[in-house]
Amino acid sequence: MKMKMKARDLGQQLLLVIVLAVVVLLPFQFGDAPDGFEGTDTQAVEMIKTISPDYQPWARPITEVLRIPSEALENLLFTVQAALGAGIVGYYFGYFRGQRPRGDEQEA
Amino acid sequence: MKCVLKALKRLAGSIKSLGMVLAAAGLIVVLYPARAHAMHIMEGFLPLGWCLFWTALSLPFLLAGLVSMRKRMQEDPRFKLLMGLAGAFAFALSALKLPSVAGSSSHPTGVGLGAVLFGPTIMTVIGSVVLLFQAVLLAHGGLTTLGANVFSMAVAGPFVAYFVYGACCRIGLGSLWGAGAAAFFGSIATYLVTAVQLALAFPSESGGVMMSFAKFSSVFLVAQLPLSLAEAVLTAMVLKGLMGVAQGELETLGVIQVRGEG
Repeated sequence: MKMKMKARDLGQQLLLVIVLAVVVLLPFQFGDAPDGFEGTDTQAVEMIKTISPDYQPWARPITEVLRIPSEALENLLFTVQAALGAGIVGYYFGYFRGQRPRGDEQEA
Repeated sequence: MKCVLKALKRLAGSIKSLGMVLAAAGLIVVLYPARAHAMHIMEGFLPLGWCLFWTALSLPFLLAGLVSMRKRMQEDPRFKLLMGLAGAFAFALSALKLPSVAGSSSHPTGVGLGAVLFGPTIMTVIGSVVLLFQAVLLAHGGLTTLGANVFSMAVAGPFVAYFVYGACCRIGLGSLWGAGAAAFFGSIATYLVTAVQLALAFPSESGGVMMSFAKFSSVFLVAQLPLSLAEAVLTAMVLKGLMGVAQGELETLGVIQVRGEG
């Protein structure tokens, strides 16, 4: 009984992974990206410029002020952020699993 | 418990040293044009009045979140772990910059999970921390626009997610579908609110606020639809995993009612 439940859970998770892959990849089968997948915030800024051409931004990003090359470091920082986040999520899952009462444990 | 705290402390230590390395690198290198990616209102691109307005609107939620966070932690120390997990989830998901349809790119917010687990205001606190990190280190969003971005991502998103989850459970959709729907609509709400914020600040000359809203929401919404779906799937996956390992906690929080549901 328990084994069956496990297999069903695993199947469900696998199904979700497949759905996720389809959701992420399917849109690219139609049409391409003339602007090379520019960020929506950049697009919003362009929109602001067309609506209010006179608007002057009154602050600059702090990385620009401090002359940190955030563009060059962006990949690194995003990766660090994702790795840290995913690592901590994994840590907690392991922790919760280890905390379960012994009788509840399965082969896993 | 203690070893988790110790691990977190060590982690904070390594984040600190990473920050110092980055700061040192920044001092050496000459000016590069900083270009931000994905969502959130960029630094300087919201008039001061609106910055103050949205900050004032967000503050009560932030305070309520801090109070509720404290209360939850006193209720049961194990909630602290779940809170850490919800925070790490939001942190990881905001880093997933994905290309999207219509040739643009953006990222999910990941605030839906925490809102489902703990209620919306706790995610105001966690979301603010994520936004602050991105504004300072990634030139993504901004310090002056922090209040507005907190309101869209860490107030509107979590509240919508929370109520959508409640509604889904009431009509018997089950926790997983509920969490997925919550994350999806929370993410959409975040972008709609961002579009409203920009439209209010930059009404179009010909068509006013409504015209601007149509323009801004078209920028965000198209890009956000597939991302929100991805976020919905990821949220459901993590909740599913949690049901396996932390069922007791979820039941105490009232996230799931009966054993074996889902």
